[in-house]
Amino acid sequence: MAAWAAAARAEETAAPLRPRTRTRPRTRPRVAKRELRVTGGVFWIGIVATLLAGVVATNVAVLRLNMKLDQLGRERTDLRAQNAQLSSQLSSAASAPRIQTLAAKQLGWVQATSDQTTYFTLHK
Amino acid sequence: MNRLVNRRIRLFLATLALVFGGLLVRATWLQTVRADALSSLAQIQHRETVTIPAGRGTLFDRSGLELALGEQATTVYADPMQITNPRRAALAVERTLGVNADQILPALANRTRGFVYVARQADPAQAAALQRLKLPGFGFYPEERRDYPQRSVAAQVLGYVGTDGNGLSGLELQFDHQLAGRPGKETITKDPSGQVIDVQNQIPEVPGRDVYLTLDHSIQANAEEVLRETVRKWAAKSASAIVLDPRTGAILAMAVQPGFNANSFPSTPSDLQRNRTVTDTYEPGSTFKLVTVAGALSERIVSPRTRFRLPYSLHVADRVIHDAEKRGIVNYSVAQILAHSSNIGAITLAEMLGRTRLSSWITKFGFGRTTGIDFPGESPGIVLPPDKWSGSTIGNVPIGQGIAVTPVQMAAAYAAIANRGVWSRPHLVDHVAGGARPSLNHRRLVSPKIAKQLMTMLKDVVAEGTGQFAAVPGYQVAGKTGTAQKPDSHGGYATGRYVASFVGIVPASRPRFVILVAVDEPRGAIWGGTVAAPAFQQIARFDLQYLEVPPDAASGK
Repeated sequence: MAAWAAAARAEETAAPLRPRTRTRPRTRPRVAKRELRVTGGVFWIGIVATLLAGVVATNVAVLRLNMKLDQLGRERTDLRAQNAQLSSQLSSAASAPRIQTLAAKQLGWVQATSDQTTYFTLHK
Repeated sequence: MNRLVNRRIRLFLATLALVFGGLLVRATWLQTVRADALSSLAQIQHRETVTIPAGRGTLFDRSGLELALGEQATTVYADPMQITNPRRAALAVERTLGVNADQILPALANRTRGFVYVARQADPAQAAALQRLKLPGFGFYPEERRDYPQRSVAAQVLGYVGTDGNGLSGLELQFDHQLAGRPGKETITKDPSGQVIDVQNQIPEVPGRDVYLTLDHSIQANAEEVLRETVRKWAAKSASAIVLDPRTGAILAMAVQPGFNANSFPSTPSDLQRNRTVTDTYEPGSTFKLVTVAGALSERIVSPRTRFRLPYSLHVADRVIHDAEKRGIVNYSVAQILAHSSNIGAITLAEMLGRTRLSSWITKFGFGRTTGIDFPGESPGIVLPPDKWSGSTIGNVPIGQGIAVTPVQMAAAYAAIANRGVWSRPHLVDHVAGGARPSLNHRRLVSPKIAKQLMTMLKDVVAEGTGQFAAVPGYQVAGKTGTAQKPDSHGGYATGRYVASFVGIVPASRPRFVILVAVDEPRGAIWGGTVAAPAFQQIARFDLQYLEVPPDAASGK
């Protein structure tokens, strides 16, 4: 410790005397720098907050879309089921024997036989 | 004072460090040692891999009408260990699904099991009603149920699908690979309420391919109706019919009666579920004489005008064979042998051919081997090779005895004659969606000249022979009747048990249909011309009208 103090004293004596610079003019850039730093900090906080809000908003949107996708998937399944059911009903309703029976019972229609049908030959 | 404050701060810092240290140790413990167990626990709670069932393809008829299609259903299962009040749960199941509460209660109350089916492939609306009750321990998943909207129409041909969605019989089995598709998989993340919030990965399902048949539901339904009436009229055991387009081998109808509702196949006796036209054999009787005559004509042993002096009965080895109707000696041409269905005439021709040549003609016509029809379980029939023939076989086989054929083999043989001597593989499927049409398998059996001669002879059978009840006004009909005694289990023939059949071609000038009708064990009458020919006529009349085939009879009669 004593050696360090002696060395320090020696340096003080060896260094030429410099005119004392005034510290006052430095205060303005320091304040400006501090203000800039604060403004920069606020700016970055804003950026980070916006990014975070964006990330949250994106996640929420993805979540909502996923939920909607699931809902649409269910709707698609339901519609397919309804479609299949309607196809089945249509197929049953379009059944020729069923129509024939209904035509005979309800309207009294009789199916034309081959000998009751006339065919024409169309010449060119 | 300062020292006291500093000490307190240090104490506070030490406490904080201790707490945080403890938390760090705990976090490290959870994230390293317990990581796997907790991760899998979390995955169970939030993640689920769901199988997405692939819809089974639809079976369409040639007009595009659905014959078999998949319907959405819901399978309801339960975990009895989670059910708090089994009695209440069983009553709710009965109320919503219609399942008997007393039947389901033991399963729901059995706490040793973790899974029981409550209802397989239940109605989705009923299952939703149960789901709304939010009973603990019940689970639901979608499943496809096979529906046959035409009910009994072509039930034996279409076959059926098991509860697990696999084809078990008929075309459902034959084309199971194409119809089934491939199920997909989806890993989902759920929130605590069960709502899906994310799909981790997805393997999409590949739906089954649709299959388009050559069957026409109207022709099929009419054939079934005619057979139903025939079975009722003659108190027969069963009846079969095939309607075939001789130009392509496409089968328009394949009917078997008695039938059943395809939607209730599990409760139907397996005997009724068989497509007898493909899987069962019968002794054809006189319809088989066509092969004998075709062989004799093709080998140039005889011409249609060659005449024979034929006695009423004939000794062949140890057997005495006679014609169906008692008569004196007649002088028949080959055409008359066929027209009057003379057994003696056919055996005479066969003896001229010899066993080797006759046997080769039987094989050439496709008897004794499968036709290759796209239907499972086809029988090749029973045909003895010539080296195993006994002395009397030459007296049996030419008249369709001692030989067993399937109706589809017989229909295909007649179709070859109708198609100017070219045999086409009979088939039920026109094409599978997204695939090419299967190639038609053709082969020539007889020359066009011989085919024409045979057609003329077959027309005589209907015009003046045994098949007069098959005549359709306005159209020329060619055909042949058959009446065969059924074999019994002792190697002989059963008394009073016959198969009456008729195979016809219409219109004979430009054949559009080959129709085979076989009636098993009719009562009251046994003759093919009496029992089966009128059924042929009814089927032919409808089909000609339905497909708008113009008449070809010159007289208009």
